[in-house]
Amino acid sequence: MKTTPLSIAALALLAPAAAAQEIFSEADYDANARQVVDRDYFPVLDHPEMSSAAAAEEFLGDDEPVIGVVLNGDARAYPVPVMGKHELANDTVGGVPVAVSW
Amino acid sequence: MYGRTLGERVLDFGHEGVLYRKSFMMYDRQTESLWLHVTGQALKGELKGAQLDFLPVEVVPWSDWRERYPDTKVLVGEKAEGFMGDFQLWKHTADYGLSVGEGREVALFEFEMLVRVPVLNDRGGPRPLVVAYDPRRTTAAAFFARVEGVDGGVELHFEAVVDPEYPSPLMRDVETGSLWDRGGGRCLAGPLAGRALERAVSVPWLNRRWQGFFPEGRRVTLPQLESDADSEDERED
Repeated sequence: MKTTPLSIAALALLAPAAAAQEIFSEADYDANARQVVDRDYFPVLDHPEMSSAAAAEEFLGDDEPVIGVVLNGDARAYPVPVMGKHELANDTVGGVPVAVSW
Repeated sequence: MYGRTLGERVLDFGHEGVLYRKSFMMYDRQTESLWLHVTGQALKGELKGAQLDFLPVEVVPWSDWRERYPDTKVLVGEKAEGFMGDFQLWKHTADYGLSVGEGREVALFEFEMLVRVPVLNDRGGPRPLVVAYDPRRTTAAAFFARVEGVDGGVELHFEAVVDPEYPSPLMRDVETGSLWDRGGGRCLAGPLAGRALERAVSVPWLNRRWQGFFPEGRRVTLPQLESDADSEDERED
């Protein structure tokens, strides 16, 4: 009887390997995707308001992580705690349309 | 981060509210095709199979970014409170790694390993990489270990350097002896001064989550490096 949990554990380990080839396919998506909240429950940001580095001191601590990007000389920082509330931002950086995700 | 341009078309995205293999899905408002945010690939809809361009970003502490880019713009937000306010990537070194690469061509460099090997020359992927760790910030960055235009392009190998003259941690390339800054990939002194390494696409990930998502991905871990060293010792015996 002691072998039963082991067999289950072994099967559980094998499962991801067997599924690996199918990962990222439409069939796998249809089988595994779950609607967990309504569409746009997370308020996606569109060309959000930007502040200067000096003004950001009001709401941003030294150690807080930011997602930083520089495109065509345009440097932008997206604080991780802010992105965590929105998860996604449509923006244009240095003339390049970008999607920032966290 | 992705470019939103696909051929002639500029897309913009919304949040589908769907979790798929622990990753959320985006939809584009133009065609309502569904995109996996982790890989930038369309899984379903009119644009199925399309791939967005990755754009290299850094995830670093605010003070570090401000110091390097004083003219930076910053996404406006409220002062962080509660759970996310307490969230500091750099205090959870053991749980995180740097995922380097695009789409499914990815490798994970665990922070726990990078603490011990702060400048790692990686030759296990399609292009030579240097993965450099900054112990002050507990962040890492990855660069392609090659400069073009010097004798038709030179592949570089790096070693960690501590120089009290410079405030930031450095690395030196073995080939020319030039000094480089680990976070920005810029050459500060030596024959290659003024050059910069091309940054590779990289994002910090929870190790456990990464492994679930990329079961075939390449993981570079401390035990793996140590067992390589052990097997060399055994040969000596």
